[in-house]
Amino acid sequence: MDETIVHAYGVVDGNEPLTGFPPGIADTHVWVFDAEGFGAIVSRLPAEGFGIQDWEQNASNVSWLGRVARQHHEVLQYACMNTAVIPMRLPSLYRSLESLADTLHAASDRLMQDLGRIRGKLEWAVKVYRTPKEERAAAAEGSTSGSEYLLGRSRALSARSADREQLRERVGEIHDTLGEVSVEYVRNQPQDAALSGRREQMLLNGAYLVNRVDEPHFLELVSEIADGSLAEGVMVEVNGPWPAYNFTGDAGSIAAEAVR
Amino acid sequence: MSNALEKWSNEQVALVDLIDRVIGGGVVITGDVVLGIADVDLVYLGLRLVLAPAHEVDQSIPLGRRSA
Repeated sequence: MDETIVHAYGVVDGNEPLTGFPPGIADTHVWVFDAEGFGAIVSRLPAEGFGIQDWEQNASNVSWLGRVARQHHEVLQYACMNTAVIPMRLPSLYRSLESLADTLHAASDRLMQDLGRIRGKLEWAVKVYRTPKEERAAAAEGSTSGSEYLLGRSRALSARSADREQLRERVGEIHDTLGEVSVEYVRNQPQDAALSGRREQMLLNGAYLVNRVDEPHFLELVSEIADGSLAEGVMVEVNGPWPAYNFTGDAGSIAAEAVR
Repeated sequence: MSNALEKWSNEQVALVDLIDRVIGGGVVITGDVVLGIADVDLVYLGLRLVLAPAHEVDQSIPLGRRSA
C-alpha cells in the first residue's frame, strides 16, 4: 500500500483529546488531526480501492457502499457520544492533510456555527407507519353481490380518504409535538417501501435535534404518543441517538425543502 | 416501553437509515475535495436505483460495532 488518500469522517472542536476510535473504512486507523482550530477525524485509505473510479464503480454496489457507510458512521457514532461532532457526508476524500486543512480554513465560519448549533445535542429519528391491521380492515369491506360490492367499495373508498386526511393531520400533530421538545426538527421524505423493505406505508420520517438533558423527556413523549396512536392505526418507531446529520451544513435546509 | 413503540439503538441500524443520513445528510465542504458535489449526487442517484434489495444485502454485512 503506497499511495493513500485522506478520508475525513467529521469535525470536532480543536484540542479535543479524542482517542479510542473503532476501526475506520477499510479497517484503517482513525485519529484526530488538529488544523485551523478544529479537529478533523481522519484516516488514510489506500488510494487503490478508494479513488474516484472506485467510488463511481461502486456507486451501485450496495454491499461495498453499505460497508463503507457503516464504518464511516461507526466512527462518527463513537465521536458523537463523546463530544460535539459535525458529521461529514460520504464521500469525503482529500488528497492530503494539507488540502483538508485548507478546506477547513475556508469553511471555518460555517463549521464554527455548526458546532455551536449542535453542541450538547444529538439527533433522534422518529418514524410513523400506518399499521397493516388497519389496511387489512379497510380491504375486508367487500361483500357478495355486484351492486353491493360497488356500493361497499365506494363507501370504503370515501371512508379511506377521510381516514387518510385524519391520519395526515394526526401525523403533523405528532411531528409538531415532538418538535416542542426539540431544538430543531425536520420532516424528511418518507422512505420508499422498496428501499426499506417494509410493507407498512411510512407516514412520517422525522429528525429531531434534542438536547441530551431532554432525551428522557423526548423518549417519554414518543412512548406516550405511541400508546395513544395504536388505536388510530399508526405505529411509531424511534431510533438514535445519531450524530446530527440533519442539522449541519446545508442538509437541514435541503431536508426542510424536501417536505411534501 | 410500550408494545406500540418500536425502539432500538444504532446497534441494529438499518442500511436504508444509514444511507439516508451518511449520504443524504451531513456536511459537504468544498475545496480541494477529490469528489465534487456533482459526483456525490451521482453516487447517491446510483445508489437509490439499486437499493431496492438493500434490506436483503444488509443481512450479510457484519455489524462489528462496539457501543460507545
